[in-house]
Parts: sequence; C-alpha cells; structure tokens
Amino acid sequence: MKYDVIIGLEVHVQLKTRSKMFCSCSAGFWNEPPNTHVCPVCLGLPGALPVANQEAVKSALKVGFALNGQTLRQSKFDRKHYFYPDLPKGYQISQYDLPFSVGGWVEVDGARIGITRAHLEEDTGKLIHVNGQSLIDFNRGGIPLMEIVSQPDIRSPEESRLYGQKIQQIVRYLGVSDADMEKGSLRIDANISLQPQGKWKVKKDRVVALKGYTLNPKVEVKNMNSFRSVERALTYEVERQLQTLSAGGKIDQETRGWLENKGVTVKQRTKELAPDYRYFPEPDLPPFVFDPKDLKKIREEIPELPDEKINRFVREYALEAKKAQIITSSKELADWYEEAVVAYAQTEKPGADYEHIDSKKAEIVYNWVSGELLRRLNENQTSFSASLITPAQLAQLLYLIDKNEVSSSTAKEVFAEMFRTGQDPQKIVSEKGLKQVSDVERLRETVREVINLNPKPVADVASGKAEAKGFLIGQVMKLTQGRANPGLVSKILDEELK
Amino acid sequence: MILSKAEVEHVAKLAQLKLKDEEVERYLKQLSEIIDYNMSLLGQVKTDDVDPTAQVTGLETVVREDEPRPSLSQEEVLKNASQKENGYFITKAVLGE
Ligand SMILES: [Zn+2]
Repeated sequence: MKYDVIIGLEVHVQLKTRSKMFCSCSAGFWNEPPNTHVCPVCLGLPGALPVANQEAVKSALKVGFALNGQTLRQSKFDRKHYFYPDLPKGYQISQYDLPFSVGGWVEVDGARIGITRAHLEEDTGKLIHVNGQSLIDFNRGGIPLMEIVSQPDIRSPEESRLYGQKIQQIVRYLGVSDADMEKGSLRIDANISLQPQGKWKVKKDRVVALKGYTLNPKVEVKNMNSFRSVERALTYEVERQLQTLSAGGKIDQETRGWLENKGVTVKQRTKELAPDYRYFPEPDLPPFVFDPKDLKKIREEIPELPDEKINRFVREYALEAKKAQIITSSKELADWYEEAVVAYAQTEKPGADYEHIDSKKAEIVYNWVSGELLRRLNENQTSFSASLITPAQLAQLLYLIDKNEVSSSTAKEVFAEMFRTGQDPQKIVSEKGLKQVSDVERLRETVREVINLNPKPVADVASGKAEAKGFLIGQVMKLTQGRANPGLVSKILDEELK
Repeated sequence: MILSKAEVEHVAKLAQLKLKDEEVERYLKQLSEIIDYNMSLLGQVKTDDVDPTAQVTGLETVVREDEPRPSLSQEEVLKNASQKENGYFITKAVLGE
C-alpha cells in the first residue's frame, strides 16, 4: 500500500522584547542566575495584575501579517488550565478562539503551506530534573511566546525543516525574534501520521477520513533541538510508522521524544493530564479592539520579506533565482549585498538609480559576496554584523579591478587584508605595492624573459596551439606575482611573437 | 444529582487530587448542591438580551510600554518556598519531559 506522509508543525517563537509579556521584569534572562527576573505577576501571587506588553502585541500582529494571516477586529487572552510545576498560576495566559492572527500561508520551495493560526501567550518556567526532584527557575516564565500552527500540509521531513527555516527567516526579517533553536527561542513540535493514498482529505484544518476508512492515529514528536534533528526525527518516524503498518501493526496515538544521540524516537511518559484545558476568557486582561488605522501603520512597518526580495533581485538585477535565494537568506546579508551593488554602480555613474543596475555588476558583486565574504566569515566564525569590511569598500575594490589598477587575483589578496583590518583597498594596494603593472616597457622586458625561457611553448604558439599562449601569459603573471595586467600581457606577447 | 460520579473523578484528576471512594461520594453530593443552587439563582435573572462577557469594566486594549523595571530579589522570591536550593524552587519530580 502507498502512504501519504502528513505533517503539521507547531512552531513556538520567543519575541525579543525588553520586558516580559504581562509584567515589567526584564526579558533578558539568558545565563542569569535562577529566579532573579521574577515578580508577583509572573509568579502568580494573589492580587497581582497582568498588563499586556504593547511591543509584544505589535510584534505578534506583524508576524500575523507576514504569514498572510487575518487580524480579527477583536481579540482577547484566555486562561489555559493545567497543573505542572513550570506554571506557577495553574494556568497559562494564552489565546483560544480569538487569536491575533487567523489563517495565512507561507511558500516553501514552491509549495504553499497553510497556517491555521498564530497566537500570543506566555512562556513557562524552566524545569531541571535531578534525582527524583525538579528544580524550577521562573526567569523564562512570562516571556512573550508566539505559537504558529501550520495546517497538515507538510508532506516530508525535508519540507518540515524548510518550513521551520522559513518561519525563522521571516521572524528574523521582522526583527521580532532571535529564533535560535539552540537557545530555545524557536521550538518545533510535530504531528505526523501516515494515511493510505486517496483515503483522506483536509477539512477545516483537520485530516479526515474518506467514507469507509478509519484514520491511522497521529503521533506527536517533541524534543527536536535543531533543524537537522527535525528532519532526522521525522525521517525516523516515517520509517517506523511505515514498518509498523506494513507488518500489519497499529500505530498508537502518543507523544514521542527524539533522542538525538541514539537517533530514535521513544514513547514519552506524558504529564498524565486529561486533555481538558478549560479555557475561559482572562478576566484580568480587557479585550483588544484594533483600530484599522493602527493596523495599517503596523503593516507599513513590515520590511520587504524574503520572497519579495528574491523576486525583486531576479527582476531588477537579473540574478538567478537560486542565487537570489542564497543572498537573501538573511536580511543583513541581502542589505549588505544590495548596498555593495549600488555603491559599485555609482563608481561608474555617480547617483546611479538603483532600479537600473547593470546586471553584470550585480553578478560580480554576488560572486564576491557569496564566495570571498561568506567563506571568510565562515572560516573565522564571524557573525555578519561583526564583519569589518563595508559594502562601499568592496565596491571600491571592484572599481580598482575595472580600472586595471589591480588584477583580479591580487584583488583577492587585497580583499583578505580588507576583511582582516577594515582598511580601504586603495590604502592596502599602495602600501603593499600591489598595484597592477600596466607599464608597457616593464612588462615587455618580462615577456621577453619568458619567451627566452620557454622555447617549446613559443614554438607551439607559432604552430597555432592557443593553450600554449595561455601558458606563457601565466608565466608572466607568475613572475610579476599576479600584478601584471593580463590583457596587456597578451597584447605584448602577440607583438613579440610576430 | 446534577453531576455524575465520573465528572467528579475527572475534576479531581484535573486538580491532581487523589480521592477515596467515600470522598467521591461526599463531593459528588456537595458539588451538586452548590451548582444546583447557583443555577437556580442564575435562572431567576433575565438574560435574553445580554451578550455573554467576561468583562464588566468596559475597558479595552489596555497595554503598557515595553520598559523593564526591577524584579524581586531572589531571596524574596524564594521566601515562601517550602523547599529551595541554589536559587531554585524544588518540587517532587513530575513525570514526563
Ligand atoms: Zn515578572
């Protein structure tokens, strides 16, 4: 039997605000001593009154817009009840029937993945289990957390990873979250089931069986701490379910945890709670009524998002889609690239309109940024924002190549120095004596020397072997440490070999 | 009886209470009486033209600036904890995770 893989993801994203969601405790809790960022509100002490963080609400609305969701005219918070030690109040303030954003979609590698909803809630405290005891730190409790729920539209482990990365990219573009899986500011849980092809459909956000068929239960997979482990865990789970079903077995509806070092998922002991959260409206937080004018203003603050940027780079710079995708992987990189392209265009035409950029120039900048710059950043484990070289400096270097002041091979050397020191290329070129040799008489001497030293290639050139000429040019470049102007060398060589 | 025995057991489970059989019987009776009495009071109020609400203040969209203020000291935070260690609250391990 052929099966379809059906995956829905819940992505949790911590919002990067200065203070917590419902109290004024500092949200900068990373690596702080336990229970030092807590107050009566986030501890749930009697009489404490939560008040919503304006910035968090705004960020949540932005995320909703960026996911093509709809904002309701009215929204509210609800209490979600369950007893667990990471929750001091016995309930979590979340959103039930009127979330900040409803519906929407994101595009992942050409496929459109539906979004059911995106709501705002408070994060829980952190538990550390040791020797039959749990240590509780409430610093994380009350950090604004968005939950983004996808439709069961995802069809493979790889697509799950790409979807997660797309959400990460979007919230980072918006500047509302660090969305770092290793630090837990982006977390992913998955629901996965296998159903025989043609026996199911999606109806009102849910997978339903077609007539005469019973669905295989879905399994919830947790504890995936990187995008790589999302893909690995779900690949394992697909295989496990497939084998069970093929052997005539039954899938249990259960929660399974991914064990990274063993590469398997195992049944998790659950919190032994009845799935009954008894949601009701949070009486301490008045409902939200949004003014369309305010919503419009917030929408206008949304920067150009990755998909639009890719399309524009393809359109305006004639960049290949694959390349546009790489260069827009982060907003910082895309902005850097674009600034360099415009600066480079202006070395030729000051005041050049950036909507009419020479596509050749855009391509050259792309090659330098994706090659030299990203490679060196990776090698040095430097973050993009900490890099010393500026886009204008790269443009100047490219201009020096165009003017034949440096050869392209020397330019790489100059670039390395710029990357290391942040100095201007002109300064490096003149201080290190790297200026390209365009002095005809000096070059002619070197060319003659090379001709004398290489009788065989010279004879080959005479008999029409083009590659022999390339060899001779290479020898001249070698003797001049790559500083000769190759075009000029070729010309002189022709003259000398006549 | 307005409640069933199963409902009382369910509520007890949600509250993580372990009830003996005679306690279930006792609470079944008490809870039923309380709910019954409250329902009879509510039944006397005319609510035909009243929308359901969880709010009586008439306030809406109450927010605060995203401005951090000092929290409590760790000492104050843990003051009422029955068990604590190295700045953490301590509780009996709960299964799961
Ligand atoms: Zn607090």
